[in-house]
Amino acid sequence: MPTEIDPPPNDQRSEPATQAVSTSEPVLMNHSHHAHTGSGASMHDEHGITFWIGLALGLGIVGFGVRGALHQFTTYSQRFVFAKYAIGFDLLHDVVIAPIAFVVGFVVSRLTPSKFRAPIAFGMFATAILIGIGWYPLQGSAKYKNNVSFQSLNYARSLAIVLLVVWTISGIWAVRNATRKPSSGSSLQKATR
Amino acid sequence: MNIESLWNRVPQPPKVGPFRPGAFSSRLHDERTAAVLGIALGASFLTCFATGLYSHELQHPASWFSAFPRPVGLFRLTQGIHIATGLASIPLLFAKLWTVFPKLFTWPPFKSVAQAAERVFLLPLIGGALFLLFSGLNNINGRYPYGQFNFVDGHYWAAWITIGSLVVHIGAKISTTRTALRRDHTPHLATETTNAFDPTVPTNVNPLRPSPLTRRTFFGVAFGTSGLVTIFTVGQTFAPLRKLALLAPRRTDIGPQGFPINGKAEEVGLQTVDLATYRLKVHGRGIAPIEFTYQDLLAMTPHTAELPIACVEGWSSSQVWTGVSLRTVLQHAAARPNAAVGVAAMVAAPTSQHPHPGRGSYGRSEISAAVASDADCLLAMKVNGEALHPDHGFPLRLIAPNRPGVLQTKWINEIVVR
Repeated sequence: MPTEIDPPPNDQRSEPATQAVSTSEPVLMNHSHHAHTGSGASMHDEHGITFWIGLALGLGIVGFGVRGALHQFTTYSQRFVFAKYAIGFDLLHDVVIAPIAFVVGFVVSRLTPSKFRAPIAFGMFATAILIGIGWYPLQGSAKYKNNVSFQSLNYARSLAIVLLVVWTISGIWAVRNATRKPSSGSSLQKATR
Repeated sequence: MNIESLWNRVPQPPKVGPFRPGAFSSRLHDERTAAVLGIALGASFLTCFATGLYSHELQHPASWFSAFPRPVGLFRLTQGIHIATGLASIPLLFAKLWTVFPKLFTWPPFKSVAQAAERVFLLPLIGGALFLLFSGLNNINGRYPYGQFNFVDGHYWAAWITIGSLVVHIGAKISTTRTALRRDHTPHLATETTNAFDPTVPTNVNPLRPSPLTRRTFFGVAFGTSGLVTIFTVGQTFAPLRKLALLAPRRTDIGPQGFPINGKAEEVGLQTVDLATYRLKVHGRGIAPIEFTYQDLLAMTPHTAELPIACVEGWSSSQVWTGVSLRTVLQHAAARPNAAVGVAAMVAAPTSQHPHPGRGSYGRSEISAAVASDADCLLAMKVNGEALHPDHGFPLRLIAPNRPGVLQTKWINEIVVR
């Protein structure tokens, strides 16, 4: 578990995620400019021979999968539901989950001192993922009703223990950041790590 | 019409919100971050795919595939890895999607036919990946909300479509990834765009800015969460960590006789079986039909073996089973050596509770010649020295090496020589 964070000097307050570049960051500006000049080449390389080989191979595998799915799902409603799930997850992520994550991240970054952002980000991310995984056991399943070996734990308690572990790690990380002396290394150097 | 004139005719999105230059300026959206997470996800999805294909072939073998009995615990290992890597991929996938999310707002969305093709395949790649993880998580928790199709078919064909899209993505990104991972590479945003028609002219002045979260810290968050997911679930198959399996739907040590079950005897009306009337029927190609009583089976040379029972849902448990080798029974029935066989579960007598009893979903299974002739392919009557619990298949169940749990047929009373 990494414990290193990179508090910008004199910045104990949060800053907006979309803050414009300040003039105190010339190195990164240079990096960025450098990157721009290399970006075109990178984009060009993306569609070289490996892309076309990958496209041909991938198209064949996707075609096999689509053909198999069409063969398996013979009715319109089956195909519709299958497609709905695949496309629905794209939309669910892009329209709901990601914007919520960005908004929450933005709000947290505004409200917390920079030295606590990393442990809080870890705590919130791990909490969201672990609740997602623990959600079904918490709800139970009708399929294995009366099966003593299935979802046999007290999952509310389990989840509470798991989240306690997560936030304990997060808390130790935060305390360590709070009590650590400022690093002598340049934050700009660390930015590329 | 060329692409230049196409984009000239399309109104550009207003430069507000996510379309505003500099809207996503954190270095955590850069190519190196995307590359590292992409490699980890590529490895985990390809591992899931390979282990999933093996599981599928064992359950629905193609004509060219024949199951093999050794190593005894191979399926336990591959399916344990399948479920564990699938679960561990969940945080990695969300971290990767977060990193590349700004690409959604790149304008113009494509600059060449090749890039358009690349981006089209992102739809089945992302949707398929999310569906695979969602449906897998549902399956291990016994939930099937799809209505119109069953889990196995949907998961299987979605896996092919997703992996094909992943191959396209790898082909498109392998060069960028190699460049991004070079030590001398200067970081720039995965979202950074150049002028559509002159790549030397930047259109999106979007420099990186320092952030309290270094890239290394971000990886720590993503991989650390992935590690926690593994720690809190892998105990359903890895016994030493069973007490930490707080979020797993199963524990290796909880169930009748100290290990889990899926199907219960009461579901097929077989809570009690009268041994006085029980008969194991053996018939099929090249043999005269023959029946064995339970006493006949007890009189045959017993065989004991420690074998895992490994469920496709990811849990597994190793137990000491005692019974008679299937090949011994086949020898008593004068079946030819190395015959493939089918086994079937008994059907309970109709009762008021079960007016139309059946064998259940997994009441039949096929056994390849290689597995059937293995000494450890058992018709088990005992586990850990005790008579089988009805939920474990009393009076007779199959327990064979390197075989999915759903094919370890319980309550057997029929063998068909193929």
